[in-house]
Amino acid sequence: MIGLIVRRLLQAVPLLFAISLVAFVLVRLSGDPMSMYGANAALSAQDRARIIAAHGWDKPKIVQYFYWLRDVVRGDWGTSLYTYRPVTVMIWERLPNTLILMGTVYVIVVLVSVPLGVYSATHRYSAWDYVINGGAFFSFALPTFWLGLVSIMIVSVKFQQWGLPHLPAGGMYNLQRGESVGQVLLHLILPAAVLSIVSLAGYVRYLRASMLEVLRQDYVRTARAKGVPEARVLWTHVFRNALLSLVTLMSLDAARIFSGALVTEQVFAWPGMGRLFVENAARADYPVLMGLIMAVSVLVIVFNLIADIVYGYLDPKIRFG
Amino acid sequence: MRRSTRRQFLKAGAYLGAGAAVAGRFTPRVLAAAPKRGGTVVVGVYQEANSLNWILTGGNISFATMTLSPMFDPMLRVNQQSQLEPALLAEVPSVANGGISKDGMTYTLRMHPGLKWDDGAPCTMRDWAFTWKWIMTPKNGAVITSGWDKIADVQVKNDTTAVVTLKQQYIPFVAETLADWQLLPEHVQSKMTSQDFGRKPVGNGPFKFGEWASGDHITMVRNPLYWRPQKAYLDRIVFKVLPDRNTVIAQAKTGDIDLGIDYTEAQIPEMSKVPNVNLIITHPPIYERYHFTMVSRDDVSKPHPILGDIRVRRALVMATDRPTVINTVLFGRTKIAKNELDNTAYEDTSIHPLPFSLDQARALLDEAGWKLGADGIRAKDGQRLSLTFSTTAGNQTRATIEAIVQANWKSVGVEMTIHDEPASNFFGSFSEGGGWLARKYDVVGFANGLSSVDPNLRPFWHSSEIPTKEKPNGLNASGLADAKLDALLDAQLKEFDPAKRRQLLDQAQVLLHNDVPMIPMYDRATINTVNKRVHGVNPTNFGGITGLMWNTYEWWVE
Repeated sequence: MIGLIVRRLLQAVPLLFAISLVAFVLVRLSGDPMSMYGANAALSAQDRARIIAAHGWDKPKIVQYFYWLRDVVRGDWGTSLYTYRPVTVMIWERLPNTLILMGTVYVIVVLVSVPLGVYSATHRYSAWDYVINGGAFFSFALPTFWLGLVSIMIVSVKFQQWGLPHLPAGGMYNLQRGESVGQVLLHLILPAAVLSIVSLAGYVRYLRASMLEVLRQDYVRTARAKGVPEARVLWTHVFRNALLSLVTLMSLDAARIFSGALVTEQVFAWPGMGRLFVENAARADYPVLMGLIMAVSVLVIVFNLIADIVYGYLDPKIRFG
Repeated sequence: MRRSTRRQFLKAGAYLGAGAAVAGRFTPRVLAAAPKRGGTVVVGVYQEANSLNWILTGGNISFATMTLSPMFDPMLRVNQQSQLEPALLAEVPSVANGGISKDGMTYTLRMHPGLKWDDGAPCTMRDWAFTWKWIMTPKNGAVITSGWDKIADVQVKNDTTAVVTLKQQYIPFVAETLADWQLLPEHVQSKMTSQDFGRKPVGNGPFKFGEWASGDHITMVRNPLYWRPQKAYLDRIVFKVLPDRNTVIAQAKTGDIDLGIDYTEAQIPEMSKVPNVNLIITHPPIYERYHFTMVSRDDVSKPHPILGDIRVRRALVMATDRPTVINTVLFGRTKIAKNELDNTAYEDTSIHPLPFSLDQARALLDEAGWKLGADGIRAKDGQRLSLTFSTTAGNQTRATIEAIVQANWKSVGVEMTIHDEPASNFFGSFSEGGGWLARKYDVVGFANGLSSVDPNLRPFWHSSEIPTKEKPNGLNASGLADAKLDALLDAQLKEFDPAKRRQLLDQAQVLLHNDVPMIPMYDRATINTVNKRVHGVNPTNFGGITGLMWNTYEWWVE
C-alpha cells in the first residue's frame, strides 16, 4: 500500500511538469496582460515599455515559463498582475466559499441519486422508472446558465414583484443584514438547487446502469435461489458491487468540489474558485490562472489515488502490488 | 363624475391658500426633505477594484478609482462644467494668481491648513512631495507616471506650501498630477509596499476604510476627522462586487443595491421603467470610434492598399448610418462623435460630422477607381474592396452596431468581414500581435477618450506615437502622420495663453476631421441608476463613473 502511494506520487511529478508547460503556453497565448490597460492614453509609451520590461513580457514565452517555474520551485506562486496580491492568498480565500457550495451539492447529489438510482434499477420499466429516467434526461439537457438565469428571474425577481416570499438573486449574504450562517444558507439555496438538478442526472443514470449490470450476475441468481432475503441480496450483493463504479465517479468528481463551478458561480455571484478563474481569464492574469490549474491538477491526481485505495477496500479481488 | 359643491370648492381654496403660505415659509424643507444622518448605501459594481492605492489603478476613470474616491479627496476637483475647482488645494494655480510662473516652469501649490489623514496624522504638502518621489521610484509599481515625470524638484516651504520646478514647459502638468488626483500619506505608505497600502489604505476623504472581503464587497465608514465642516451623513458605503451587468440590473430592480454602475445604452428602456430607481446619464469625453488602418501593417512608410486613399475613407464614413445607430441602438441618448474633446470646453462646434449619404459614398468610390463587380462588391486592378473588421467580442451593443455598418457598406459595394476578439487579445500590445495596436485588421472599433482633463490629442494622433517594431508602445496604430497636425499638437503643449491654445486646438481638430483617420461613431454616455431612497447624488460629466462619487459627504438615505 505504501509502495503504491510512493510510486504514484513519484509518477505524478513529471506529469505535473508536463501539465504546467502546456498550460503556461496555452494561457500565455490566450491573451496579453497589457490588454488590461486597454486604450488608456494616460499610460505613455514610456510607461507601457517600463511595465512590459519589468515583467519580462518582452522575452520569449518559453523563457517566461522558466521564470515562473523557478519561482514556483522556490515556493513562490507569484502575485496577481491585476490585484497585486499573492496567488496563494487569492485561492485560499475563495476555497471555503467553493467548498460550501460544491460540498452541499455533492452531498445532495449522492443522497438523492442513490435511492433514485436503486429504485429505478430494481423497478425497471415501471412508471416511476420512466419518470426518473425522463427527468434525468431532461435535467441533463438543461444548460446551467439558462436554468440559473430563469430561476433568478422567477424565484427572486418575479416572486418579489408578486409579493411572494423570494430568494436572493446572488452573492453569499445580504450586505444590509450582514454575514451570518442563516444568510449564507438562504443564498445557497438557488445555486445549490440548480447545480444539484444538473449534476443529479449523471449519477442516477450511472447507478441505475451499474445496478442492472450486477443484477444480471450469476451470484445474484444463486443468492436468490438459496433463499437469501431480497433486501440482503439488494444491499449486500448488488449495491456493494454497484458501488465500485459509483466510487469512481465520486472520486473523479471530488476534485470539482475544490475547483468550483465556472458558470453557476458566475450567474449567482458566488465568490468561489470558478469565478476566480473566469474573472482572471478575461484579463489574462496568468499567475492566478496557473495557480488554479496546478492546484486542480494536483487534486485530480490525489483523488484518483484515493479512488484506487478505496477500490481495494471495497473489492477484495484487487491487490496492490 | 363627481360634482364638486361650492363648499368643497371653498375648502380646496382654503387649503391651497394655507399651502401657499406654508410653502412660502418653509420652501426648502417642503421641496427637499431634510437630510438624515445614518444608513448605508450599497453600490453595485461588476468589476472589483484591483487596488485602493490610486497609483496602482491605471487611470482616473476606472472602477478602482471610483471605489477609492470616497476615501481620498483630490488636490483639485473637476466640476460639473469640466472646470478645475479647489479641493485640498486652496486655489487652482494659474499665471494670474501667481501659482504658475510666467515662463511656466515653476508652480506654487497652496493647500488648506489643518488637514488630517483619517488616522489623525496631519496631511501636508510634505505628503505630496513624498507622493512624487514614491511614484517615480520604479519598484513602487506606479502604473502612470505622466506629468510626475516632468518634475525636476519640489521644495516644501511649510505644511501648506510647496514650490514645484519642472524640467520643461508642460501645460498638462496640473491636469495630470492634481486634477481628480490624490496624494499618499508619507507616514503610512513609506512603511509598506504600494500593494499592501492598496489593501488597507489611509485616506483623507469623507469616508475611511472599513473592510475588504475579496470578490464580495468593500466597506467604508464615516470619517469623523473629515476636513470639511459638513461631515458625511451616511454611516457606511459598501461596494458590492457582482459578476456582470445582468446581475447589477437584477439587484438594482430588487433594491439589493442602491447604485447600479455603468449600464449599456441598450439597457436604458428596461431601467427607465423600474419604479424604484432614477436613471442618471452623464456625458464624459469618451467616444466609440472605428479606426482605419492607414498604413501597411509592417512598413508604416507605405500606405494601406485600400484605406491609404482618403476618398475611400471618406466614402466609408458617409456610408455609415450613424443617425440610425444612435436613434435605434442607442435610443437617441447621445450624438455623433467628433474627437477626444467632445463634451469638453474645447469641443470645436464649428466642425460638422460628414453626413450619411450612400450616393456621395458611391460617387467617391467610383472616383477612386473602385468599380462594382458582378458579385456586388467593388474591385480595382483585380483586388476586391473587402475589409476586415474587429472589436471586442461579447459586447452586445458593439455586435449590433457592426452588423448595421456591415449592411451599410454592402449597399455601396464594400465587403466587411467581422473578426471580433476577446478584449485580452484585441487590446494586446504591438509586440504580442494585439488586434488593434499590431494593425491586424483594416478597421477596428473601440472606445476611449481623454486621459485627463487636459485637452491632449497627442497620444492617438501624433506621428511619433505610431507603433513600430523599433518603438512598439505608442497608441497611434492607425498610422496618421500629418506634419501640420504634429506641429499644432506640439505647439499647444507650450501655449500658456488659454485663448491662443484654444485656437491651436481648434485648428488641430479641423485637420483631424479633414484627414479622416477614423469614423467617430458616437459619444459614449455613462449610465447609472440610483434608488429613489438615496439623495444628494450629483455626478459630473467629466469623471464618468468616478464622477458619481465626488460628493459622497452630501449623500443621505430616507
